[in-house]
Amino acid sequence: MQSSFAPIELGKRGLVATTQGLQTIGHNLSNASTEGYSRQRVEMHATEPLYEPQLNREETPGQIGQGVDVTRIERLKDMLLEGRIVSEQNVQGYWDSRDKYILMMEQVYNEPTDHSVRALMDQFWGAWQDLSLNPTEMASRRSVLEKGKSLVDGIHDRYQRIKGVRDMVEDDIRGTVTQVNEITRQIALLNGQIVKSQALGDNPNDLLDRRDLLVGQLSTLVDISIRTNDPAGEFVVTTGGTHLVQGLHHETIALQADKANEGYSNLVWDDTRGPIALRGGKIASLLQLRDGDARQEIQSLDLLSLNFTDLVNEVHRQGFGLNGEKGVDFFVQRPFITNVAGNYDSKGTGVPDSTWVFRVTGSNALKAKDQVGLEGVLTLPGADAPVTVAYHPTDTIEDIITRINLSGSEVVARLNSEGKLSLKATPAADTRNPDFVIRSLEDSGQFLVGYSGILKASGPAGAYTWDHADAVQALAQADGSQYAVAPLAHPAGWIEVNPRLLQNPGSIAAASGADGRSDGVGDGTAALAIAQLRTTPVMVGVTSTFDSYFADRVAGIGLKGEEANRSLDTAKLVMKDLKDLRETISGVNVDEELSTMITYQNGYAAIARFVSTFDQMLNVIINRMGV
Amino acid sequence: MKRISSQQPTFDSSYWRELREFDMNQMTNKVGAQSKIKDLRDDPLAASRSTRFQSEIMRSDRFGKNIESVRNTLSSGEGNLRSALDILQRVRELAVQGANGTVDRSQMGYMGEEVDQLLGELLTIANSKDQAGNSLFAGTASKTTPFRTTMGRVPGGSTDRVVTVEYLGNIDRGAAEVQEGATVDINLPGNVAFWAEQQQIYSTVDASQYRVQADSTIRIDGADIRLSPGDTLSAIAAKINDSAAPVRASLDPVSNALVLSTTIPHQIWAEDAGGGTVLQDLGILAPGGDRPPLNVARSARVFGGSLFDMVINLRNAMFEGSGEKVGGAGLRGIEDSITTLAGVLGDIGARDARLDTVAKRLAFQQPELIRFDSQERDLDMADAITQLKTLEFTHEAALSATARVLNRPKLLDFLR
Repeated sequence: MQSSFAPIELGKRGLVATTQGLQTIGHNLSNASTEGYSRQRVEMHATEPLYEPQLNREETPGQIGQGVDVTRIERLKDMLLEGRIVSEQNVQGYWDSRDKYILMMEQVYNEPTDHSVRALMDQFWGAWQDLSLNPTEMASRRSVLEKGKSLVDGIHDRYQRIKGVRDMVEDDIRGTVTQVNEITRQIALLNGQIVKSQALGDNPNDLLDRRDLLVGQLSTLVDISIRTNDPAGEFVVTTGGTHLVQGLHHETIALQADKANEGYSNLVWDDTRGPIALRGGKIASLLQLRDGDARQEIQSLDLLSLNFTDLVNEVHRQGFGLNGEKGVDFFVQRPFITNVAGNYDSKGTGVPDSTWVFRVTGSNALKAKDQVGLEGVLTLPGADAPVTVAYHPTDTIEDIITRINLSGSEVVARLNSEGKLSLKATPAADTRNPDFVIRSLEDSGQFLVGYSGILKASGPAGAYTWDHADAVQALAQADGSQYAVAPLAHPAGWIEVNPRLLQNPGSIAAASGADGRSDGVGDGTAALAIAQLRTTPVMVGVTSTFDSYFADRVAGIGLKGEEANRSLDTAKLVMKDLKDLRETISGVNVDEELSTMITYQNGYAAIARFVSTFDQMLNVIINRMGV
Repeated sequence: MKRISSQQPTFDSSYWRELREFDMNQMTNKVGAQSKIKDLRDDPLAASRSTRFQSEIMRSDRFGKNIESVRNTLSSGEGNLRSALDILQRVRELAVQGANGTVDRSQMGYMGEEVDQLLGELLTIANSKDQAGNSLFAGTASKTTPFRTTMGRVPGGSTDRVVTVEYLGNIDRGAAEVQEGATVDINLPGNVAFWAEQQQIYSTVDASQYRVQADSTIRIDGADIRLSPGDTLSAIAAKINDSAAPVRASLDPVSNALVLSTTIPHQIWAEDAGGGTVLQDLGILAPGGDRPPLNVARSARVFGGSLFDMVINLRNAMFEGSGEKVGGAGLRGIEDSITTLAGVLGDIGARDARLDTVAKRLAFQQPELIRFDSQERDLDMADAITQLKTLEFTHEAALSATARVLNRPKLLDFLR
């Protein structure tokens, strides 16, 4: 027989249990719309009954129950699903930011309207056509100048806008890195609190929810995966195989300015200064945008500006102005270094250690359809490794030139207006190599040597390499007439119409001539030659004409935008499905809670009734038995 | 996945509403801009093609303007040449009259006066300028007056008369682009339009032992001819004949000298290019490297003259009173001038006809290009508005459904 007051105790346990149940329901209802909240549920078990099978047990069959205990308040969350969401979320983070910035870059183009750089350039060529018909008119010359200035302004504007996007991405990177460091710090802090509370046997549900929320935020920024180490119970967040958070300890990401990349920051670990490899998430997307897409946009604009001004100047210099003046540049040329041989001290040691040359031209006039009759292999600089181009005796010069241009090397070839072979450098894919600098030229045969007149000797001994000063000695003509020093960085930012022409439009060349004499002020053939640059294959990078260049760029950025749009939509849909699943499991359903609340309410009323009934029974024993 | 939390309907309706509102906004923008391509991503390849078409349309426009400009220039030239032809016909009449032996000396003198006046008129026409002040018949030396006269006394004439006419313009024809990569000449050099006879230059220097010493270039009528060391006179003559110049070179069998003669009536324009001296050594050109046409060697004999030379000769014959000369060389000269001038007019007509063909073709192609561009870029309004209407209808239906779901009664409403 147990104690008389045992049933009261039982009643008390029941009241406490139902009250806790009601409190949890209240908590759920209050947090029904809180972000990241998982509903909690009270688990009740019947209290340990009395009388284990032992010698001092009551001799009645049946263990007598002792009421109800709340064993646990647990949150309803599927941690496997959570892990899946965390590892998928970086995809949405990646495409979200990529979509936004690619759209910005698309809009810079202003295509296919009449206000794009292409349309301005078309008007520029049109002005030269006009000049070719009216070469004696000052008005036509002024028109050429105005159109030239508009075009240059258009190019500057586009350059500034893309640079602006690149700077914006840099700021975004800095801000996001700060955010990541803050989140990891908070996660580490929560880890400490959670571990302490779990050590005491508690279920810190709300802390766990808060940590999951932070991890969710982090997973859009960086590609992470989570696990809990057994048996230490420490929570680990890893990215790319390295620990980001391990229990109480978190790693900080630092920014290091990269001189080779115009001072933009690289991400390094704060303690080891080693590089971080991120493959997904917002930061990876921003890095790809800044150093991949935006940089390529600027490089291609630079390529356009440089080729365009170079070609126009080449023809313009051979023409005669209204005042008979010859040899004037239409666009200003700014060399990277004002050293005739292009020698530059890149390491800052005080001694020139490299040669920066953009273009080399041969001395012999060639015909495109001639068969070369020579055998050999050209070694040209490539993005990662040198590229080889072989040529055979039956190849025509045209064939070899096409082969060079399609070989993937960072040098392109063409026959200029005098029929001489001209090799030009393209922008470099690797940030460590400068744009528009020829890094090496080698020919095992005679094509570049005696045939076209570029190099002095064949084979590795006669090769041109940029890594020492005075490399121009390897060229056939070291006197400056056959090569051009590399331009100042970012031609798109500084190209200008020659100010001399602005003051004196009569110096704009329209007439061709021979032997130093103009063909007459009424001759417009030089102007016509400039206008025809529009459609001659002049090799803008690997596209042959300006037309192809513009069409190619528009399609390129448009396709990137289309891809970003589709991928973002797909990622969002995937996340929606996963999150819907999570919501099904962990979301609060108000009606469900209310009906459970009714149950507990009735339970509470019933137990209270039981207690008062037993109280009355005890009252009979205590107060009414005896006298 | 049968359980639905209370927030799920809100999340769902938000997600789809967002997508739909974005689509509606995009469509409204496109209708407003009348363009299928609001951002390049909407149709990257169509946008890329459209840029090519737009550039081509602009170029096609430009070519049309160029053709018009050239035709205007040709037409003013033609007008002037027709006047000149009319004058020459009158001169011919006078020559025929004078050749007829019934005219006496004083009457011939009066006819000579009239021919002199007509000569002045011809010179005015030859030196005419267009509205911008550029000479029509000076080639590309547009600010130079093409024909310079020298005055002097003529036997039988009373005052200062024109005795020689020299050509100061050049032979450059200029160029204008009328289709992709194709150019046409613009100008009419005076020493072709106002020429009469085939010209011949006979050198008097014996060149049988001559060898070219170094790589040099000679330029005849604008065509460059490259000579290599060791070339003999025959080789030089062969190279000249093979070149594009309308000139035939031959060897005089008696004097072993070079002879240059034209194949169509015009003035030979020869010079040594690049500081060479080949033609000077051969006795064709005077030493010193002057500009043509005043650089022919004094020792060389030149035959064949311009239209003005013919008229001057006729006038001088009339002043002399020589009916024989008038009817002989004089009349023949005038007839040669008329033949040449008519030929030049025919050439202009042919050029104009070609330009007309090109202009017609451009006029046909332009709307085609615009149509292609429109196909790539423009919005089909009927299609777009239908889509917009569908989106709006869907939007309304979805909002209505969401409202019903969100306003659903809760358990709480039914508890006492």
